[in-house]
Amino acid sequence: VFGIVNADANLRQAGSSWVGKAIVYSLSSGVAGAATGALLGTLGSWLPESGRIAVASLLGVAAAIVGGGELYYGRWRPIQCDRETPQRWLGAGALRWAARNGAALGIGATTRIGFWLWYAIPLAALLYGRPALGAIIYGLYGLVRGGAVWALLLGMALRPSTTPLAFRLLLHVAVARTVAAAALLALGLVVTIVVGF
Amino acid sequence: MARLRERRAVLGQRRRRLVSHDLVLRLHESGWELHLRLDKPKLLTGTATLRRALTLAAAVGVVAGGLGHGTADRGWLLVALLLAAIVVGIAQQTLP
Repeated sequence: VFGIVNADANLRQAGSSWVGKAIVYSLSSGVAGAATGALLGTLGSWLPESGRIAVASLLGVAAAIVGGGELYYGRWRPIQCDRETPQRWLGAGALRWAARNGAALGIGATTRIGFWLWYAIPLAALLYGRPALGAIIYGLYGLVRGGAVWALLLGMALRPSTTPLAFRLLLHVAVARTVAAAALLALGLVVTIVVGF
Repeated sequence: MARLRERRAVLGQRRRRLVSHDLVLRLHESGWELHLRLDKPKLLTGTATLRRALTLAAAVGVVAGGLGHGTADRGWLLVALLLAAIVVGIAQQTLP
């Protein structure tokens, strides 16, 4: 959102349309996610199905344990790069920034991941072994992560506040962690039931 | 002795009721303040219910996973994965 509403001439953002940036950003995020999912799906299709099923069943149990652990005993830090997208990218120009930033967040691996649930997305795309399904799962993630900017901008317009948006979002991080942990536990259970162990 | 135990139990129940009432009042007065003060979201009734439901689901899931061994419809797996993609995409908006 900071980059989209930014109109700093020093960052080559003066006169840029926020609507154009938001469209490019959210589309880039979705497309990058879908492309990564398709790539992982293709890689997965080269692996033997029995091996993918065995790995998926083990990961299902692991997901249920991690999700349950986070839900009942508190946060376990996920393995991640833990960094934001570089702000110097803003200097590349409005639409280039939007495309690059959207793609980085839509793929997610090189940015702050924050939740163990994220790992379900690339692993599912890989282990399904079907490029189309990989593209749908990963693409949906990218589209939601990038497309959320529209909901945030709408929220800012409808409910103006003196508190910065970043602080307002940070206040919901505990609820987001609980919901993500619950979703991970539920996903682990579904994998366990569907794939078996 | 029995009466004393009974009185203690009644007092304990009242105290629990007061605590939950206090939380509800705070929620009505200021939603933000509730979030800031309650750094342990497990105190929220909705979360506690969710935990209970998931504990039950976990038990059912482990038994069903062991007995069923891959007999369930794979469509459910895709639904769960798509939901996970949506949840994590939204949850990540709260990251700094």
